[in-house]
Amino acid sequence: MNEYSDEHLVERYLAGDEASLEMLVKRYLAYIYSFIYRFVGASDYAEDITQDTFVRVWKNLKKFDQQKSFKTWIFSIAKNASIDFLKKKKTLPFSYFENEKGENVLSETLYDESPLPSEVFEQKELAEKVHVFIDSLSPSYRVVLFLHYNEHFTFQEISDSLEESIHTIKSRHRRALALLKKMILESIDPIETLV
Amino acid sequence: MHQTTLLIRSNITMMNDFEKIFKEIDIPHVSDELFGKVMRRIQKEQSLAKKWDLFFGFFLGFGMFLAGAVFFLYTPFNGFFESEFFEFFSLIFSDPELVVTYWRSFMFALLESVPIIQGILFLMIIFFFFESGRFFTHIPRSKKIGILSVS
Repeated sequence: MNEYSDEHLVERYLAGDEASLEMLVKRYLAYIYSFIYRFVGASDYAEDITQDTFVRVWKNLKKFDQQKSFKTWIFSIAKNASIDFLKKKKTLPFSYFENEKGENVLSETLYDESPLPSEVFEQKELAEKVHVFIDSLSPSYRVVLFLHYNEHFTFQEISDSLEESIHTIKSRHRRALALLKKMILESIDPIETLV
Repeated sequence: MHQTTLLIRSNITMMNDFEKIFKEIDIPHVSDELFGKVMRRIQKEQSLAKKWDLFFGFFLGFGMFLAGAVFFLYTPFNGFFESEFFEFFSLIFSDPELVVTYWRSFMFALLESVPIIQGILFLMIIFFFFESGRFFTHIPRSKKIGILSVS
């Protein structure tokens, strides 16, 4: 059953094969949990939201359009479940550098496409630092970075999953990288940057 | 053109740098119990959905039964009281001596005037009522005698 496509497993489940649903859950559990963990930034709630996500998936399986990608569909459900949770908690965090319109003045003025200096990779505890920097980004930026670099989603897949235009996704990606780069560079050379 | 090429190359290099960085970051660990928790939640929701369907179906069925019973019970009862059977039957109470004297004729008259159709309709309604009750309460039918039984 491992070789069945997601859409085929959905078809089999709707025909009455319960094992197909278990297969789908097993296949996506780690990815969805990881996505939600990054999005809400807390492991305490990530498990509950993951369970909610899969319940929503089960409830809406009959409505799933089998011509579309199951992967992007399930991630869009996970995103909505995460946002609903954050709204309930009233803790929709935004990046320290973002204004109310979601624009980031800092990234627009400092955007620099040059590669990172090699000293960055020689730093100890680089991963820990980057983790902290990423956690300080807004969920909308965080999730684009992780979907692209961890889960290897294309920008189109991210656009479909998050139900945003591809232009918005690419724009967020650029801004997120610019912010991250700024924070990383500051951690090497603590010279203050004037806005 | 040269500048654009340089820009694209440096952009790709930068993205490759970030790929390296992201590889260093730990992937959140999924607990072993999470799969079980997810499947139990789904099973709970399935069970709840079935109960709601049953509950809703019962009220819908019961409502339809009541509506049907009022109509289908009214017809046989009405037919019964308007039939000659009732007129003959009521003689037992109004003139019992006459019934005793002419008991054979009386029996034949009763048998001829029995409202069979109305009686059958009435028995069918009672049968469907008990069958629906058995369905919703999951009481099995006894194989030996073919009627409702409680195990």
